[in-house]
Amino acid sequence: MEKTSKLLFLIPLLPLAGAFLNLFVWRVLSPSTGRLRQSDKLTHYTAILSVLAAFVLSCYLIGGPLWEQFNVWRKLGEGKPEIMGGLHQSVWTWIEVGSLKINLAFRLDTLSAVMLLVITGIGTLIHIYSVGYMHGEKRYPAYFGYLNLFTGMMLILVLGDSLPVMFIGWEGVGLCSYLLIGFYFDEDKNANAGRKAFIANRVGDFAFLLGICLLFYATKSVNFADLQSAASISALKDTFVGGERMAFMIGLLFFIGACGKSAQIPLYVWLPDAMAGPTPVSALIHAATMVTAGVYMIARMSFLYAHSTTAMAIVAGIGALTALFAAIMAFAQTDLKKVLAYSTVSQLGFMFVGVGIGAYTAGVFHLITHAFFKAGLFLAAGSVMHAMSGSGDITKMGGLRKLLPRTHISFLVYCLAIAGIVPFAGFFSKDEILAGAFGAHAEGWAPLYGKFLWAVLSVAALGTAFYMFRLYFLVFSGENRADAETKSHIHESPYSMTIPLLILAAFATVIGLIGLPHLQGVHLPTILHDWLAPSLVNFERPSLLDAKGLPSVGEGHASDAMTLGLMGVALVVGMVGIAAAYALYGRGPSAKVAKMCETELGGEVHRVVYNKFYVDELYEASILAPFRATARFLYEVVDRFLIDGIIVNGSAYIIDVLSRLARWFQNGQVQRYLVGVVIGGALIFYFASSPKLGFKYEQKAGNLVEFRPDVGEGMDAKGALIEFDFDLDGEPDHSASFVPGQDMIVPYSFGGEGSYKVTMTMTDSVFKKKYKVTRTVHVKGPDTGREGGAQ
Amino acid sequence: MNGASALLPAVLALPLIGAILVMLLPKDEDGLARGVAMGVSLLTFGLSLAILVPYDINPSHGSMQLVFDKEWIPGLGAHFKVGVDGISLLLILLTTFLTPIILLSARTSITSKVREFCAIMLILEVGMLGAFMALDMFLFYVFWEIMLIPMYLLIGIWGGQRRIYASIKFVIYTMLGSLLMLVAIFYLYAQYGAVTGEYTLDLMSLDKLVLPHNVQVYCFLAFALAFAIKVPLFPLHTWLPDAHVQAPTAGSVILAGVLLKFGVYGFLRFAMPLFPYGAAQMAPYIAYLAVAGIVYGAFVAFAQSDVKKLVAYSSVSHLGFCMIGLFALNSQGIEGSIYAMISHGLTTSGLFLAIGVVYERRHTREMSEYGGLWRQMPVFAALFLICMLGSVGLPGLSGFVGEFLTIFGTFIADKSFPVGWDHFLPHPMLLAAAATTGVIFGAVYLLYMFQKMMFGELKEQNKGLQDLSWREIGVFTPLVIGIFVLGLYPKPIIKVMNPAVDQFIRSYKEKLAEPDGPAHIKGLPAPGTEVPTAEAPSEAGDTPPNEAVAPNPAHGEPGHID
Repeated sequence: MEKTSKLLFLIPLLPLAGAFLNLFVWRVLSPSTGRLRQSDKLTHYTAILSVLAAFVLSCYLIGGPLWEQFNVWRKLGEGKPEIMGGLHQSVWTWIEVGSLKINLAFRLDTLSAVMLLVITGIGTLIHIYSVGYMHGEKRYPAYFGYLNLFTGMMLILVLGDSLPVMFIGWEGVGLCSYLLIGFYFDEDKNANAGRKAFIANRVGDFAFLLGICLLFYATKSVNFADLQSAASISALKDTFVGGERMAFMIGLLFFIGACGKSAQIPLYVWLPDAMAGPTPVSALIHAATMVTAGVYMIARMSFLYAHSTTAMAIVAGIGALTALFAAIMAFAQTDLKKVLAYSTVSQLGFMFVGVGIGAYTAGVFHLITHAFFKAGLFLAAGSVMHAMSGSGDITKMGGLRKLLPRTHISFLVYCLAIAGIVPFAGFFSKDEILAGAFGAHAEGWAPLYGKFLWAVLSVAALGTAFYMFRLYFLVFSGENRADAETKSHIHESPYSMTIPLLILAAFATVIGLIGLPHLQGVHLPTILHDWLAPSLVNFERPSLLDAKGLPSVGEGHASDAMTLGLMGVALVVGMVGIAAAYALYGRGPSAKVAKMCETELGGEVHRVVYNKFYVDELYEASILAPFRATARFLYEVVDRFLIDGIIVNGSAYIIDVLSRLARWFQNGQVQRYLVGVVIGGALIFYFASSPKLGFKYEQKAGNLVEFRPDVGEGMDAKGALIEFDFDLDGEPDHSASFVPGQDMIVPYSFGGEGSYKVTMTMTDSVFKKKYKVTRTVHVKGPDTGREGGAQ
Repeated sequence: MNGASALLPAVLALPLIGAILVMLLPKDEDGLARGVAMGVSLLTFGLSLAILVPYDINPSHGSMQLVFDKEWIPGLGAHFKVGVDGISLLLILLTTFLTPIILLSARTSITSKVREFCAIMLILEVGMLGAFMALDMFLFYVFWEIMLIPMYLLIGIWGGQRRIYASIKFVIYTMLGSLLMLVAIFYLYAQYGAVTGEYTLDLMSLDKLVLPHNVQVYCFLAFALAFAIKVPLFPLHTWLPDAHVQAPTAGSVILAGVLLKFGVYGFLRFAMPLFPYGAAQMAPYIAYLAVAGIVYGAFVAFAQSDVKKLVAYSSVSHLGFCMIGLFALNSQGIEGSIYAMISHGLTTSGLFLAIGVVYERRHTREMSEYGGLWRQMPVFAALFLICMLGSVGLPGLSGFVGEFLTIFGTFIADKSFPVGWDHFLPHPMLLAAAATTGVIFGAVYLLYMFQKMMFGELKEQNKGLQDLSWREIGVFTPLVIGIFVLGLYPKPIIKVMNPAVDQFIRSYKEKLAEPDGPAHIKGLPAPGTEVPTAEAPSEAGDTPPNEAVAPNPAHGEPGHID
């Protein structure tokens, strides 16, 4: 059902072109090439317009051709294709070698459409916000160039029709993230944070690459359409290592990739550090878009995960643990952006539970709502820090409600949204994940695994409400705790910053309505669910369901009472969290908490949580330090000493010594040469006269054995005395002179079958030197003749 | 022989004439010498591009084109025979592309004995081009050795403090390796003569000779040693960091950009096709060493404080990818390997040139001496960043395509095809996984280097540094454009190499399927096969039994790791 679109490639190309103009063309064209200054206006208009154009084009393509196709698809009756191809465009063949063919192709289906709107929509707002926030920055063009580059790469990521193309975007966004985290690179701390992010992502990419290889190995294709063919699906069901399906191993590899990009345990450590970048970057890259790429990827590959319940269990389990763990770490942070960073990690965990339990729509739904309220939170935080002279220390804030009215109201809306208070956006999406988890069960899962996930997430949700409102109260209510200097500068941010805030707040309020719960009594519109149905695995696509496949996630199964009950529980959890935060922090920093921290146990707990469970330290000690030590060892000991010192230069040294020796002989004195000649002659004579002694034997009739002495090539065998001793008595039993050229045969009859030791002695006729050789002769029974030889 | 076949000798003659011309110039006309050399190298590049005109991109068979054959030493049977296929053509273009860039970069870095320098660079170019074109073993050997001399002089005259040590080490190491190869060449020559009665060193004729399996192993090892040193394959690599560090920028660029490729090229053109059984037997060992080199090179690179040494060790790591791709023995692996060579030629050249830029300004290669250079030299920073990312293997830039294809090829390597894989664990998949760790480590050391030099606070001693001049931008621009084009649109290059690689694999398989036995011509019975020779059975213990050649259907079954 797919349609070709000629415009699709323009969506990523527009921001990329913006980046190219800002980073390159304008600079070359700007009159004072020496200083590389280009006007700020030119810079941000280029940047904003390029993203806006991408947004408009996306709206056009989604609202026009895709919408049409969707409606046609929906109205098809029985036997309609399970997949709606969407819009497709192949730009050129990227890599084609043998059976591997990768087109640089894009596909816009309902899933990527949603992502497209989020990226370009929120992206445009953040570009606008940046105008105010980055005002006066020296590297203004670089900033907007990177931001555009990021947007373009992110669009490639979501539009990519095959995994390798997706990987271009996947790594590209990583690069932009690296550059933007380290934007203020004068401080090593910031540059380190950028590098940490890139390398943690690369660990994930390592698995991603292997995932692509294994997927091709199994299915012989890498593009999403072919991967969903019946043949590919059946290949995914083949058994691979450990009795698990192919889908398990591939799913696991891709999930490791997702862990890197989407900051899940154990690769989440880079995200809190990534807050070193400018705040709008944190909003766009490290909250709304890039970090959700992992969730998107798993949703995109839902057909794969649906075939391994083990892989799904792992995704959901890691997600739940991350959600809880990160929420706890957010409790004790005192930096505004750090709290939000851990909150992002935690919320991403929620999304992974969503896609992990097979509630793909729920996961994507939370991705959307989170993009709005979390981007908003970061932008609001930026506005607050802007007012507070750049400081993000929440212990020095307070009472900003009146001073920053527009920022305050939007911040409050975001907090309510993330805490899951009805009717704000986060309530519906979080509830859908929680309800899904409660009802999820699949073959191979531990009993009550779904309930366990639900419980963990509920605790995490409680924590979320608590730390978000702790943040809210510390920042906006109570007395202002800043010093006088800072206090005098507090001001509301310019409209270029606050208008995006208010727009995002409006969305954070209403966007939840696109995903109202399924009720059996009342039919509520479920817009998002219907829209995503042709792109995701669900119960309308029976070909993807099998015994060990998609778990039942309670969608459409639960009774209304159950659904509403779970919603109620979620709501109560949120309220309790807020109430607890109000009780402790309603009027600024809590004396109770301070007192608790003074007790031994409380202090210990606080320290551990404050230091983020010492995970960074653990990684430092267990991975980084050994890595550095190994590197040093390999260089100093193995490379310099062993290989280069001993083997390479050592052999050169030996040759050097030998050549010195040779030089000593060849000093031009005839006497020394003569000595050499004499010694050499004697040596030749001596060695040449050492025969290689041996004999052969052959069993003849009965026990008669014929022996043939072999005296080698020595010059002195002539006339030598050959003696044989057959009975080990030391006395020769046979002796004769050897005549060269004449075959010498010595017969001997043994007593019977068995092994005998025979000694042959040769005495040469000149020096009377004796050579002796002894060996065992096997005499076989009658009729079994045998040959043998010995040297 | 038509007019087009004179093209290759012309490409060879041009820099040679240029070198003579440069040497005939008056002694202190440095500018003139540079100009002439530059002009000649650009002409050579143009002429080498002209090869593409008569060259058939889609030949029905992937064999040599534009062959020029002239008797050279009749007594020996040596011919002056040159020709190109898709593989050598690309490497020839890489060589002629890099030479003018190097000459341009040397404008300020080489200021003494300029005339000699220009002549040496041109002679080096002749040697490299000749070795890539040669289709006669003797001719190849001559060019192979010719390359050593200018490189030796380049390091020895314009090098750093320990230049004598480094240059001698370089020459002795390479020579030592190639001596055994010479022996094997003569053995091959004698065997071919004995079987056919015709004594020749023509590669295409020798290629038809099938040696007994055990002999193939020995001959392969003799060739492999020569090429493995050049690659350099771990642990034969220690000459490389010394040579790189001591060589002037121009020397480092040509060394990393082209000379190292002769190792891989030699395997591809000589060692593997001539002795397929030997190659297959040794494949796992070489693959292990390649993977070891990838990881080891990365670790050791990370331990460096000297930035040039760091990049030198990164070559050990990157060339490991080329080697493992080669021994995957499928089209993805081999084409990836060739692609990785070309990409490495661009990215690593870029890195060495970048190091040259700062070295010229500060005369130190210690990373700790730099820091914060981005603030001072933004244009340089951007170009350096692109070369660095190309080397890291960011998709969309050139490094990724080769890296991905080699990993991919290794991963799906049919372990029943090259006999060697059959006996060996681990599974190629695990080997590929081990190689892929290079993707992480590559980022670790290169980003570390970049941060140390470009990020952080600007040091006092670096505050006066000038950003790139237009000439220097001109040096980097072609490389950077190349890195982008190769990353985004690899199709033309893959298309050029594809027929040659297919041909390679086809003839390799054919030859591998030949039964063991006395030396014979491919497809023909061995002379005197009716009489069983005493030798054949007695050697059976040394080599695995014959049936190992036939793919065993029990292995390589998809869906299992055994």
